[in-house]
Amino acid sequence: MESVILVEGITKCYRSGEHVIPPHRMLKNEIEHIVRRCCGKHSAVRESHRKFEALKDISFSVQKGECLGILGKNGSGKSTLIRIIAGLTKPSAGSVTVHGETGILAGVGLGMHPELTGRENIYISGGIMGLSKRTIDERMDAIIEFSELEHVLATPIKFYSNGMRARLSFSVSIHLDHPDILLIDEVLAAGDLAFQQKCLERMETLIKGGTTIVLATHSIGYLSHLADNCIYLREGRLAEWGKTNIAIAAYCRDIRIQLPKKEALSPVHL
Amino acid sequence: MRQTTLITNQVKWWHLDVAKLWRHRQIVGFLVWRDIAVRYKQTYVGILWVILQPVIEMIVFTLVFHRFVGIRSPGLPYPVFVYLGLLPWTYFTSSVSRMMTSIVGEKALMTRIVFPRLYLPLSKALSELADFLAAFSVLFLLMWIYSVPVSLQIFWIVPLFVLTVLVAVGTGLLLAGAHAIYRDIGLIVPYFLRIMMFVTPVIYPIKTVSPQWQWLLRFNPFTGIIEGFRSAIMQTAMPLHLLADSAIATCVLLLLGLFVFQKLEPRFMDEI
Repeated sequence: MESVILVEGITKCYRSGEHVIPPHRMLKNEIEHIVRRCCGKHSAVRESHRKFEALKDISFSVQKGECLGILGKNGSGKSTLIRIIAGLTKPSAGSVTVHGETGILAGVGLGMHPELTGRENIYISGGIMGLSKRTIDERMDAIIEFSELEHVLATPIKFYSNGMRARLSFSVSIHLDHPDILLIDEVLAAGDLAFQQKCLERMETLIKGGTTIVLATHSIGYLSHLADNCIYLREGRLAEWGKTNIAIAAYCRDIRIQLPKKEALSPVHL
Repeated sequence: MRQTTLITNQVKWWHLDVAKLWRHRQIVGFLVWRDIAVRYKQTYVGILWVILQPVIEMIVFTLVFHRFVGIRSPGLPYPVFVYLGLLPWTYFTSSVSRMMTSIVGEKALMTRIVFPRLYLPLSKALSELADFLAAFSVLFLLMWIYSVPVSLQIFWIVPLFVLTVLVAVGTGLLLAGAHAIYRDIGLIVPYFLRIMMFVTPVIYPIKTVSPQWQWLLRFNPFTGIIEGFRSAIMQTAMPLHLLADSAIATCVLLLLGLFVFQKLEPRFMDEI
């Protein structure tokens, strides 16, 4: 099998503590530093901040057509990992090799504006997430039908309820172009049961069509349904990489919850 | 053959991925359209604000600087004269201010969507064009009211305006990049722009400045541009030496802005 994503020794450091913006990055100190350097003196303000490793020495690979799940508690590094693979941010060390075009689904309704109408926001959001105007025109009917919001499409979305706004955004996201590799960062948990069911069906179709998927989610139900393999991140370290049931078991053992019986593990239950 | 991407912590000192810019070009149109569509929503007079803002400013400036202070404008009625200065200057200040905050203001997009970050400030410079064109149409009304004749020389305004946009883009990129890292910039720039207007011949003709101080104005790329705008209407000789200065300053600003922006870009994600 050919691996389409190869992650080798990824580490990502952020700063932590009181000076999240380190002292040397403040304009005053930066100027002082430059002046000192010009005078040939060593500046002490550099490197005085603490480092926090969001990811530490992560290595794994994803095969073509595989669905890989990413498990972990809040703050364990799932989003950071997804963002690095997507090329949104650079790792502090290590490398990622990606064969093929990646797409990231890390939020729905991006770019939407409260003052614009439902229909205008479909264009804006679709366009900002990568569709052309012509493609949106073609898919408009399908998007409207999916959202079940035809009666309020000419109303600014600031007058929508939260649920209506969510439905509008989801409908756009689900009609985006899907690339060779789709990275999904926890966007499926929101939405009602019917919507989650639609998402699940959509992803099953994508996987059958040969799309590689990397899916970060808290929903064990989704993972056990879709993922071939999982990685489990514990405080930025790779605690487990293997078959989905093994990784889920390790995760559940850590957070001390009883693993439901196999037949109870459907996405609508968790 | 499918593309292969290698992601490491290596940052090239100069990276401008033209293929990526081209691939994502459709996003510019949507960003500009959203900007324009949203601007005057839920205002009573709506789109009329585009014209009201410069006209009110023109009236106040005429009253204060022409009637009260007594600044003269040989060759042009003062309202037309000051309006010609305000047109490019207002475009410059409003697009620079909006470009500056464009990176920090779109944090949600920055952290969730892959697209060339250059397009965020650029789309602001483009959406401000709509306001400029609307304000520009008022110029013809003013010229008709004050019976200022129109000649072919008015077409000089096209290259002059291109120069205005380029100065704004260069300055805006520089500030957008710097503002994402140092928020100090956001506090300084509004004052700086206000002070800059007084060393730009917006409210007075450059000829009233005594020769020993004129060198100071020549450092300002807007001196040539605004004098050029006025010559285009007054049908006097173009201040070509001033414009040459402006063109050189513009090139330097553009390259510097692009360089600083691209250089700081990898840090945006982790620091905004």
